[in-house]
Amino acid sequence: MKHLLFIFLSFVLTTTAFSQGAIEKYFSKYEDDENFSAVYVSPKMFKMAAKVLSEQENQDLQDVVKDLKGLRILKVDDPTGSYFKEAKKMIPTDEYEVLMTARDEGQKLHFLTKDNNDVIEELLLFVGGDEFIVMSFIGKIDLEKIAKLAKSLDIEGAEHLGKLEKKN
Amino acid sequence: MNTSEIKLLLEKYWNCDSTVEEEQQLKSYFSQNDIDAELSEYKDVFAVLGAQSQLSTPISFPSETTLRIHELLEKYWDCNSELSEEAELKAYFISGNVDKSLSSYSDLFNVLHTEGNIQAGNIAIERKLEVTSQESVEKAKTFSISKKWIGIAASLLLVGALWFNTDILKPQKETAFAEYAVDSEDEALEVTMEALAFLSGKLDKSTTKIKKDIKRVSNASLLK
Repeated sequence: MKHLLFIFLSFVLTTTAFSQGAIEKYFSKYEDDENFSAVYVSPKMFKMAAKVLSEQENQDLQDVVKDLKGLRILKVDDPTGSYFKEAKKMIPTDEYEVLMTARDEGQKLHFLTKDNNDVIEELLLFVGGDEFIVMSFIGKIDLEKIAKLAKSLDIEGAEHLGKLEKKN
Repeated sequence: MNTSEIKLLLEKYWNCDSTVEEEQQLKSYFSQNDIDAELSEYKDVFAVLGAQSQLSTPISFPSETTLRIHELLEKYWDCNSELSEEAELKAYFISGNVDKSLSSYSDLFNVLHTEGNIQAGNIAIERKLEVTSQESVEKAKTFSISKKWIGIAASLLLVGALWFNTDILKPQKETAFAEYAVDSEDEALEVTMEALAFLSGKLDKSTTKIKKDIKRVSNASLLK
């Protein structure tokens, strides 16, 4: 009986441990690649950020942030497009479903989601171009709410993600 | 006396149809050494019955239960006992707590217990069936996986579970890219807002693009 309990526990532990996301699972090998810059916002950080936000007035932003648990961004120069091609292959299609693909001013956009029943647990964005960017949003993702944000957020340089700096 | 005659007498005996002479015949048959193999189990019965008639009265004063049993036995020998009384006797002798004066009968009632269901004329066959069913029961009991193998199988399962779920073995996965973690909630907000703006912008652009493309396609087909 003890053995059965052990096995049961081990399965339970693995299935409940989803806070990792695609970048951690499939792209952690890039951690040592000097060309990559990255950002990571932990669940704890999000909790604290949500508190700060409630003092501001942006309701739409608050709505989205309060449901976020994690954010990871990877960025690398990709003149040949090889990183982008490779990355696409690394994501299993039975885990992540393609939401949408589009082309915009020389950039290739791939939106993927991982959902649990009808709730999106993770939104993955690949951007292919001179720069290869991966963004992973983890939490309870509501696409409608995010779409609303496009109007209320008006940040300069949003197109270039200028704030991402390598931390070493 | 040949075996079949003895068997006939035995049946009469069980049905209380035997005469005293016939019972004597049974006694003498069983007291000699040339007993048929299938009848050998009854030897004790008739040896006991032979002994019974020579019992002397016990010296010490017997207990109430013992007296009761003696009473029932008398009834039994006279074929006057009810089934419930016979059951009482059986129970007493099986219990093992038998008075000395009654000890010689314990084998008899154990035999009678197993004989209880035998139908007239088929003693040998029933006996054989009993033996074979016991054998198969024993065989069934011994077919089990030894404890050692269960333990090994369980351990293998556990190792297999861990092997395929290597997430457990790397609990520190959470901190991949840890050095890139933002340090303050302000920074976190800044980055998040930018990322969300980027995301929503791109989403917006993409859906607009797709809508345009759909329009273009539908217009084209309209022209046709």
